[in-house]
Amino acid sequence: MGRYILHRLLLTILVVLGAAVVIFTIMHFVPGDPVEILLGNDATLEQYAAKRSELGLDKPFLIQLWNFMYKAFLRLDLGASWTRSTPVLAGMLERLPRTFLLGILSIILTTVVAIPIGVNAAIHQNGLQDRGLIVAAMVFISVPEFWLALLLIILFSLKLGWLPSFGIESWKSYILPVVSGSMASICTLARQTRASVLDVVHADYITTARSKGMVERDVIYGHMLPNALIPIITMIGMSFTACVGGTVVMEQIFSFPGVGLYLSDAISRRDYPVIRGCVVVMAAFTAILMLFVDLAYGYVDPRIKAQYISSSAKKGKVNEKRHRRPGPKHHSGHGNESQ
Amino acid sequence: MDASKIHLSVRDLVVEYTSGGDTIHAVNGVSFDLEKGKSLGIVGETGAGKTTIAKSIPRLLQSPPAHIRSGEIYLDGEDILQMSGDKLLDIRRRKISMIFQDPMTALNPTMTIGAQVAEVLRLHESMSRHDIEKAAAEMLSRVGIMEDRYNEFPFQFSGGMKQRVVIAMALACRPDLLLADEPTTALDVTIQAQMLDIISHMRDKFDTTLILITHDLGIVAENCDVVAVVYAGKVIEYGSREDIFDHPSHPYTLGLFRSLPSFALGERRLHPIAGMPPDPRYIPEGCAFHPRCPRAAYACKTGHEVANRELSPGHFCRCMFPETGGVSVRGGFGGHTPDQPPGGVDTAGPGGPNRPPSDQTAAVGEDTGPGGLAGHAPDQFAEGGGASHA
Repeated sequence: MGRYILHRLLLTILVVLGAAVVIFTIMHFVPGDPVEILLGNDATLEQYAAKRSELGLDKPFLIQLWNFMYKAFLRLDLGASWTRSTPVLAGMLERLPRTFLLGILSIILTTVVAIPIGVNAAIHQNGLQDRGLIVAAMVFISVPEFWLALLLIILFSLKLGWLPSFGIESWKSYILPVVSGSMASICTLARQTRASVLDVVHADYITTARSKGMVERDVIYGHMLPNALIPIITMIGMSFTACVGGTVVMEQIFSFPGVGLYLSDAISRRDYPVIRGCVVVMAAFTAILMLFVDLAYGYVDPRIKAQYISSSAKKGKVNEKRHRRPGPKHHSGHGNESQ
Repeated sequence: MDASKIHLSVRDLVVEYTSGGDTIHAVNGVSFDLEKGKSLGIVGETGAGKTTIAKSIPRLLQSPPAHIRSGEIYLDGEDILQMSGDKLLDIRRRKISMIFQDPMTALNPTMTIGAQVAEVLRLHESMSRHDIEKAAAEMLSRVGIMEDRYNEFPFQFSGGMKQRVVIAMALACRPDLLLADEPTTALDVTIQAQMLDIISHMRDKFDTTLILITHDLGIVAENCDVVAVVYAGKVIEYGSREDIFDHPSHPYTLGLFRSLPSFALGERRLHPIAGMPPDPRYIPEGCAFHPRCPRAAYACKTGHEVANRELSPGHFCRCMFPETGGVSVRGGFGGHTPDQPPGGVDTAGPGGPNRPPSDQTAAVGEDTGPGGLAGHAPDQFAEGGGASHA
């Protein structure tokens, strides 16, 4: 288990390095001159050249890349924002907790609401709840998030005046972004839950559980759901990326000072250090979160655990990289010691 | 028959499945009585409605698509079909257990086998967690699964081991009535014998009533006091084991026996029953078997239901022209039953293991063919049949 986590963390470093190189290269070749944007149209050629060399943009591509990588990974210095002249890391760390909270709240809301809805729809297949879910899912998946957010702002901020429409003044500021950002994912997750519960609803072991005289609720949540969880966990895991990346659209609409807004501002101003810094930090966090999701698979489904153990025991380490879904290993007998 | 001894009584059970616009007539008026501690074998082809009959007893049929249209199922005098939800759960916890056909899918893949056995005990008895785990481990060791495998998952078990777990689960609550739906079909022959040993051992101990569903006549001969032959959702012949095996009367029952390899008679070819079982959506009028029946006359094809005739006390047959001569076909199925079941568990029924065979079986027994394969089944239970058709 410990060894597996270490292995994954080493892979994470590779992922982050790769992400850094890719984002640096893309930003370098993307049209749009940051110096021009910084100085505006009135700058003289001398001013332009001076600023260019100050930012290090006059050097060859590879030298620039090396300077960035050297600073970022060996000195842990992501540089300072060109437009705000504040350190990128500080800017990130200031915004990350807000975005993280927003993301976590959305995930909790989504999970708590979507799973019971999906389970109920599956149990009463073709019933009223089921049809209701299918229609609602169609509506909310098709409706653009920003439009829904604007409608909610009109209703709850303008007409009723219950909730703030922008910024972060209090806990109330989280309600509208969380709700409007979760509607689509609630519907998607509820549909996924419905589909995977339907896969197990007629399974023989469910009849076995019923034949033991179990109360129906225990059959559903004790026997059906655990077996239906894998695809559900995958979906929830995907939404964790929003916890660090932020939902750019939501943060824009609610002027929510999170990572998403920070990044989208930086992109429009060609603020390279901020963009690169955000991407590197997000890549690192995402990779670590995905590791947790993968560990959760093994916890939920013992077969995945075993699959990992047997494949790594047989084929050695090479396979671990390809095999993206391993679980913890702690079984006696065929452990990883044999590698 | 002593009415006070009747443990399970099924009356005119009718079960249908609806799928799309079609109605599938799975069970069409099945009735039987079973005394406490006796065993009933339900025999028939795939799709004859055997499993549906068994699953209707603890009301385990998924509805929809299944609907119990009519009928009564009395267990100890109470109609299960009229019971409230709580009462039904209690019946499932304390009185009825079921062994399912396919051990590969009958166990929850995400739960340890120990937990799955313990679950039965938890629902059945109020014991401390520790005691329950101990009892579950003991139950598993009784079916030959060591305690150190308690925390393993079904995928770590072979098919035979899984079926043991399923059997342990079914027997853990010491049911009054055990429904075994093809408990050995998924297993190879040696494991089959072991499983049947375990079941009959437990039955002797707890005086369990058994309904054994199978299409293996050899297993019926070894384990059942009473036999019901099912065709197209109806019991077409019913009687004690001796009635069915020594005097099969319905042409379908005769066909079943003839379709078995008969080494004793030096047969080189099997004699299958011609044709196919009827489409359960469109069951033929009159006798459902008439399209395949060599004896079918005009009267069999008209719309009247064929009456259930009592040929001899307790031996019923739903045929207009039953075979009444004493045709013994016991040699025919003998190839399926080993003389002595392996395993070493005491399988002796009330009749004792060395009870002399009846005249008819002896006659065939002398005729043992090559390899001695045609030996008859040992008589494990009291002969004479404990149940009768009311």
